[in-house]
Amino acid sequence: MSRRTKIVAALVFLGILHGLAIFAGFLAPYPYAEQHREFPYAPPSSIHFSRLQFLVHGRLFGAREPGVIFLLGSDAYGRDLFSRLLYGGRVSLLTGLLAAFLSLGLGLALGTVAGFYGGWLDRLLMRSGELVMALPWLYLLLAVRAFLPLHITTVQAFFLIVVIIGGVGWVRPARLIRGVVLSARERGFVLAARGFGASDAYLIRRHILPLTLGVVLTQATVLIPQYILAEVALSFLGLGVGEPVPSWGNMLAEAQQYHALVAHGWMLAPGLAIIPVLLGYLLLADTLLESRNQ
Amino acid sequence: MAVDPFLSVRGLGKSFAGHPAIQNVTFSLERGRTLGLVGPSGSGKSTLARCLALFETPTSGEIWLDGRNLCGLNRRERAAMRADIQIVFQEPASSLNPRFTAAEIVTEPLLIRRLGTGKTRRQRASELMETVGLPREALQTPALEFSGGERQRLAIARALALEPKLLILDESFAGLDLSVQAQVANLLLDLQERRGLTYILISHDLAMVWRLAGEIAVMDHGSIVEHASVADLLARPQHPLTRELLDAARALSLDGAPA
Repeated sequence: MSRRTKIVAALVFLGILHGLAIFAGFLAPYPYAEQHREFPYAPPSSIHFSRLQFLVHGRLFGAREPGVIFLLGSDAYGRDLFSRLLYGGRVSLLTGLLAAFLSLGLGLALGTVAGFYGGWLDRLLMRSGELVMALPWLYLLLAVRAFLPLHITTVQAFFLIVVIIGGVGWVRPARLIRGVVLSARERGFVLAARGFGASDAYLIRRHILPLTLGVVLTQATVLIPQYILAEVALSFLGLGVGEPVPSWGNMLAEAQQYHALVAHGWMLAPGLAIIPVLLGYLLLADTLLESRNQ
Repeated sequence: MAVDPFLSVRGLGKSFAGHPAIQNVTFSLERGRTLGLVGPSGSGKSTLARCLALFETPTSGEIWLDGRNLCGLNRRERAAMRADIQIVFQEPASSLNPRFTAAEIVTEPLLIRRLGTGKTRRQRASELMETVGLPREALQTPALEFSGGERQRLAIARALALEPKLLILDESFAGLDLSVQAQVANLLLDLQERRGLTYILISHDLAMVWRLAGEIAVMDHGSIVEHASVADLLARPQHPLTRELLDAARALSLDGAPA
């Protein structure tokens, strides 16, 4: 497969996976919090098309009343796991994207400043980076969470996680970008533009930032899956968004009981859902790295 | 020699981390003339060029151009003076951003100095292309797709965009094939005749230097050891290094260097 095909394939694949989460409101047969108390831990339903109805209540499909459909079974409260998986993907995938965006934004700004101006500013930024790298972010998050009131809203919890994961992760992209900028500022065309009286802002915008694009893209494909996994881990520990809002992590937390593992295996679905997402990003990252090394 | 020459360098010195790269360099140059700067590698030719082009701040000495002292200018004044002195670098390939088109390259100095509108800049781009003998149709071609000689012409066209008074050519002919060298040399002579440009030509290629330059300065260990007109230098070389360079050039040349 050519490199281009691989990249397109990975992008399409990831696009579909993200699309499933984005259009959860349409694709999921039930709202994420709807309970069917009479069906706790129902196993995955077999599909009978005669009992299905399509495009009702603004959703792609649903079961004819009074029937129910649980494509991936249901949880302790009789909530449809398939629906929760799609809605949960929203939280998990969006955390990855936003946190990576934050990390790369910070990394790009600080790395460019450090590499371009050098001197004491460079030393200050890189030493602070090392300090941040040494921070145990899990304990940082625990400390911040302990400091905040017990009940914070879902949105607050979401942004707290994004800010902490993303805010701690800027160092690696910053270092890589600094390296690119450091060599870019000595390139002949940068010196030439400086010779024409170009301002620092012009040099950075027109000549230097375009050169960092490769690093930024590869870092994005490496950081996003890493941060998705971080969100899942944090929500699993109960530090992320709380019930009833699903995320792959807090759904897995429910599956950690013994009975779920031995008798209700479908509860592990969120754990399996992460795998294709990570594989998609890894394929993209690998292919991009390969083409950059050529 | 006139009382107040166009370019006058007095006692110029530049040290890097305490090690002198050039010291006590003194020479002057009339408007519309060409000075060839020769000498072995590491003799300080490029450092001198970078000081003259205001890329480096000299450690000591003065540079006077057209009656103005270039040393001791503040940032803003220096930026303004840079329009008058342009340098064409050793490797044209690396001095052109490969992502830019020819039009973007030659008009970049105008864009940086916010001169003219988009329309006048486009017009100026085709003029500049014509000046250096490149086809107007090539304006939208990316820099990457030009040959070595064409890139060198682009670099010269860009250097001319701000209508400088002094053009420094730092090994600008290295790596070009002989016919292209001859074309670029003719272009430079033509521009000098039409616009009264003053050149400082740094080259290892003595044939090129005595083709273009009226006078030659020989540098060694960071100082000018001999400075004379081309005819004098060829007829009566004073410094041992000059003789060495001339002998080497004659030995390399098939039909003997002009003397």
